Amino acid sequence: MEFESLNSVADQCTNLGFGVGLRTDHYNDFMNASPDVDWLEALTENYLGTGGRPRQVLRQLAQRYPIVLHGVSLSIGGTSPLDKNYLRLLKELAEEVQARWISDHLCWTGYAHHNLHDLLPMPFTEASLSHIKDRVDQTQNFLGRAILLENPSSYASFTFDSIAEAQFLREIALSTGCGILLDVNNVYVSTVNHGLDAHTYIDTLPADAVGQYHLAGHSERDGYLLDSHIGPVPEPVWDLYRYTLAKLGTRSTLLEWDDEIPELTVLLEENAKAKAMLPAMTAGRGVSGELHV
Amino acid sequence: MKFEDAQKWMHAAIVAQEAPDEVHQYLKSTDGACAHRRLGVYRDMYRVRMSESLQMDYGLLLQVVGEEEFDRLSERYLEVYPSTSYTLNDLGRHFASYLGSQKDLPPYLEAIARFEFALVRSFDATDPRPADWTELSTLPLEDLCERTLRPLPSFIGEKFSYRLDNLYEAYLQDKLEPGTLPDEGECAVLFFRENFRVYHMPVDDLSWELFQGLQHKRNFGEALDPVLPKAKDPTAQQNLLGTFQQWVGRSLLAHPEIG
Repeated sequence: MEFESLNSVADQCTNLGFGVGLRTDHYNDFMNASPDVDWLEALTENYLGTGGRPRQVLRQLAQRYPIVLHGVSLSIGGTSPLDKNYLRLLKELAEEVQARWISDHLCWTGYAHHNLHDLLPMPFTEASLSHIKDRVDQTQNFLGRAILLENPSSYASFTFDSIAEAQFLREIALSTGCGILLDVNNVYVSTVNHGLDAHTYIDTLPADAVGQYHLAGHSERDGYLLDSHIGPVPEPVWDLYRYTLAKLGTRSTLLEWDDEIPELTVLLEENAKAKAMLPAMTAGRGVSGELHV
Repeated sequence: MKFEDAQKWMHAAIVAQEAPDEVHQYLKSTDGACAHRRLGVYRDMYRVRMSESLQMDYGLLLQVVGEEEFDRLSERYLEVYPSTSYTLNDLGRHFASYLGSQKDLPPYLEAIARFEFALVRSFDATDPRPADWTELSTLPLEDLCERTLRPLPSFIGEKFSYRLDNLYEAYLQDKLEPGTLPDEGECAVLFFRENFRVYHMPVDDLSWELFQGLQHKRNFGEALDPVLPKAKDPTAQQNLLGTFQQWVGRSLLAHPEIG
């Protein structure tokens, strides 16, 4: 299937506004009331192949909120064959909850069918670029829709890398028609960890391909930043978000908070901060407007 | 260098007991952190993630053996059974059998792990439509006996040589004293899910035999026939049938097929 015939990023990624990641800690908040959240992002793997409460909750919430599926195990950069069973379950789930779009990460997660359950850094070479393009094509053809790939945080890079990560992501998007889930915190973390410039990273990305933003907190460690998804969004990440809005425009934005998860109201306060940045940065573009990539 | 070779190397370097020496050939160093330190981030995260994942499913086992021993057991286990699934929910699938196969470990560790994994299995099971007692109760007995009434996938039975139900209750209520070990004693336990919560209940020998019969025999009649005569008086027989009725009433059996 040519990517022109797929359900494209532009078709799927309308601006949904400000969402939060759906976590078990907040199931009751969402089931017992209807908190003022524009949309929900569900971690794909928590809902695949399970008949327990999580799937039931997601099914019910899908009646009330737009749902986006965000995965961590596609291993688009891996060398083991793509897991067709995983893709089949993903497709079924996406149909069941009417997922607006599906995203995963620009990474590999293991070797020889062993899954380390981590977002491991890609070697950035012409060969790996070609490899990933092929696998994105396979994935999109299987799912019948364009997917979004997120830039992960990274702590290591390879001595033989020949392409910058942002350029690598750009070429995948332009070649395959896939979208980019731009994690602003991850850009900040990775560029600090590798001594690179975050603005140059943002400037390199093709605006039309960017379908969603992530915001999150990180932690300072001895000699590096850790993408811990803990605590409120740090000021340098807000600064980079402002820059991103000005450069690329508004997109559906999601706050991730996965460690020491607070009351839902705290997440909503963070979302309110993000919302407050919009009028000044993107004059005339409403949060719930029709703007999309 | 081929990117595939770099991935193979990095994978091995993360899971290895000791970090390899040749890190500089593969990973860049910067002023902020050397290549070894950078690899160490991934090595540390791998161990923490795997251990935390197992700890979530095996909370009682963790309390019984302590964190240090639990981490040691996790690491040994993962060397034999690394994750091959897209989900960490499956990580502990072989933990009980692995612990049971280790001659240097006390046998109650296998039992505790099997008990806790039954809870996980019940929580995650995908169930078909359950049997409806209002439908079944209208059937003449001989028709009912022809029906195949399998326990739902979330309705699980396990037999133990330790009284784990008591131990688990103490753990849930945060009343488990350090160093507490399970009492020896045969114990059959049924695990089931109701309103998305998982419960466990010890059952007597007759109920256990009936449960096994429902799982393996052709139909309800064949499951019941060998068990009912063992009930020593009419009250015991009524109790057994009452147990069966409870299982159906609580939607723990699958919608019947004609056996």
